[in-house]
Amino acid sequence: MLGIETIATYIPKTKESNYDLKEKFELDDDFIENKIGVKQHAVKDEGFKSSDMCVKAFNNLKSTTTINLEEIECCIVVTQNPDYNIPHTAAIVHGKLDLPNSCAAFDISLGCSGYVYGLSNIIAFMKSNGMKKGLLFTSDQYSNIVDKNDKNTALLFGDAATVTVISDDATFIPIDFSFGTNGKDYKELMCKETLQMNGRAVFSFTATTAPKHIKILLEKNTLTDDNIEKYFLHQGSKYIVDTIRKRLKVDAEKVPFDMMEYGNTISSSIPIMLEKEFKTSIKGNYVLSAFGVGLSWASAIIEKIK
Amino acid sequence: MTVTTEEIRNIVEEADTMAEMDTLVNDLPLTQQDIDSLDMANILLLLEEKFEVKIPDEDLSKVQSVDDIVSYLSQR
Repeated sequence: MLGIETIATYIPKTKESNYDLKEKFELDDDFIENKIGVKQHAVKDEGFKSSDMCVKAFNNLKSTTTINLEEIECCIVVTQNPDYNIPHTAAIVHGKLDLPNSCAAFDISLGCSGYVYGLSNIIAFMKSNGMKKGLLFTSDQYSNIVDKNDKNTALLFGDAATVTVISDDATFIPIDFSFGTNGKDYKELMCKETLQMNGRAVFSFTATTAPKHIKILLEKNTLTDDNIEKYFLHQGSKYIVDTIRKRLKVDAEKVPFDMMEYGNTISSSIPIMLEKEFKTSIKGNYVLSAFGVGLSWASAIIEKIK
Repeated sequence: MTVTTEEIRNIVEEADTMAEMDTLVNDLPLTQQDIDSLDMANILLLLEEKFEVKIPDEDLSKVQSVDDIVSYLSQR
């Protein structure tokens, strides 16, 4: 069965400290550490584009996994910060990695919910076309679009990219997916020239939508919290992860919080956490749930089988 | 709508903020009493859910203190 064979990530080494912004934004340590939950955020190298970060993630993949490029039949890039309007970034990544001409390549334009959407898309696309090996990239650089004088966003976002290898030699297999959209409120989180976020509206949307969506998905699959090893929630902020966890009424140990040293990495936040699970011997069901720009949300149940 | 001070204070407590409930003053803005912008967003959401009302952003200046909130919701 097609599923996640492995994951590699790229988080830029350069970081900007939120402690350096304490005076500018009148912050205290408690707000940085326990509310935002970001001590420092990752910033890409000057001039780096989405495709460059995808290539970095792929190079990290090659350092731990043997990959035969000729076997890659599908390359999808989830990004809302493409290298150019035209062409799609997946084509540029395809060229930089020297993937075969028989390989399909396309982008998915989604933000924080993008990994879960991407996972469902690539597995369905590969299955329906008889493909055996594909690459799902996530890559965003909000450092390009954040207004450094906007307290709502300047502290939060970090640059990152990931690559997920999809094949039938899977460690995680999909059980079920569910999706949602509220397009009427698209203006609450959008970028014209710089990123603008109505923090209260996004918080209310997430706190009400995500827990309900997860509960419905578990009920549909006749699962309860007892059947779930971990919940990988999009790392929007510590406050939002804590709020969803409290509303779900699940133990803190089951809900990893991981963004403290690099920030909210948009569609990369879930695969960055998931990569670490390959090092554990835990088997069982995992919930993925992500929410953000659109407003868009997506949840999944996946099973770790080895 | 009938709304009591106690109900509003219970919601502030439910929001699990850094504010000390024993010393929380009803006629001072909550943001001047160890309640930050994220806590405030949470309190407003809890109010909307409990009283089944929408508090638009334009009305935020009317819901700054416990007394403000009681008065605002009583008129809805």
